[in-house]
Amino acid sequence: MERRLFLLRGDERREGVDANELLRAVALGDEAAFGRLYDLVAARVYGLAKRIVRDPAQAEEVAQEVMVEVWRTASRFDPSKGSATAWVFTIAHRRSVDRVRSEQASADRVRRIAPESVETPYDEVADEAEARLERQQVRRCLQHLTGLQREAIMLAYYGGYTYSEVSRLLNAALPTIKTRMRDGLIRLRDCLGVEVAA
Amino acid sequence: MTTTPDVHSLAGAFALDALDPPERAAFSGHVATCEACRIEVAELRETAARLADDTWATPPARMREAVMARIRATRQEAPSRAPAHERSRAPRPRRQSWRHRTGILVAASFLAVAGVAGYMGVQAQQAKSEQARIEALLAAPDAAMHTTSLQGGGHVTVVTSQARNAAVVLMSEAPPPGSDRAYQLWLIRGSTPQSAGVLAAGQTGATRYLTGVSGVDSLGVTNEPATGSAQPTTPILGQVSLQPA
Repeated sequence: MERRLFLLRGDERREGVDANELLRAVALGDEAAFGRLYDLVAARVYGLAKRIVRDPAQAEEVAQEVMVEVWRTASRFDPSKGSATAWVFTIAHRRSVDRVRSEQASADRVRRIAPESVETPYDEVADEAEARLERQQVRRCLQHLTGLQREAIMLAYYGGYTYSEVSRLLNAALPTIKTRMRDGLIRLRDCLGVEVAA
Repeated sequence: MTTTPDVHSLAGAFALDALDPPERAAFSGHVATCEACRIEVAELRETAARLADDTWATPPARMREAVMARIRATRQEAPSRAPAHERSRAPRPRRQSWRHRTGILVAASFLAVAGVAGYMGVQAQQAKSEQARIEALLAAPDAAMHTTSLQGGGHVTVVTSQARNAAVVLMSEAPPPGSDRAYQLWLIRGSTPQSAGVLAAGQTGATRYLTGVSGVDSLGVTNEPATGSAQPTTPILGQVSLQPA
């Protein structure tokens, strides 16, 4: 188990280094490097958008916007602040969340989705060994969280809810949810062995 | 660098994009001046991004071609350069892009908030100096954040700086106050409320810069006639303690 974990982290690092180099090349206008970066991240960018906005057509729109933004703003990427993949997924998450919240605002209604429906089955999951291993590691580490930490983080990240919406959904006090999000992420960080060079 | 546990506790929600725009702006303003927060936020963002590993889904095949076509027609941004005053404050060159981005984030959030607050209606110059005052306060070394929910919906976040004897009030997502009604802010010393301004009739959110907050125990919000009241005439919908944590 430990051995597998070690190997997994090695793979992770290789992917990270590749993505960092590709993103630097993209910043210099290298279209071929962008194509390779696309192949590396598109399944997760699209998957994340789809998980949050749900509608496949809208998810595709969001994913396209994310990839174009990656191209356009690649020079802003600063490796001392984190990995290239995290930079891309941060944009993807922000854009997906903005999409559901602006829809919500324009429709002037509150989404009423039961918390459990956030955990949708994974359809069309890429059947790649690397993807499977990464997914297993994230899922294993999520299991190390307390129930409230896990639910708060999953509702915010995969559900796109604000923390005040999460506190209403889980019927827990605002300060509790704030704290659980932070200490849950810290526990997740330690389990995943996440480090930032800065 | 003074940080309150309250501000720090927002790092998780920030990394998960789970803050409302006013809180996001307030937190970003704080992070811009707090080295420890910056590292924590970077690590928690990196961690949150790993959650995307569990979302693989095969995108439609046409998407790759569509994206490649779009990028060929999209000009890339030149490397960013921080404004002069930011540059002189930046201790190390590699920090510049982060500071710059944080500045943009704060400014962008405040443009959004300013829209809500109705600054668009006043002179542009006035709005600009108001925004500069707000941003300066959010970045103050002793900035402390206090938040509460309002009964019936919405929240109020107050960022105070004792050194500046001032506060920024960010109210958002309150329900419509009713016809010819408005929300009114109160600075409360002991049990004595003093009006700190009436929002425009019907307005459900606002950003206000308040001075003279030293010795104030809390800030309260009530629903009043659109012209405002000398004293609260309805029960307080939310009260934020401004005492140091």
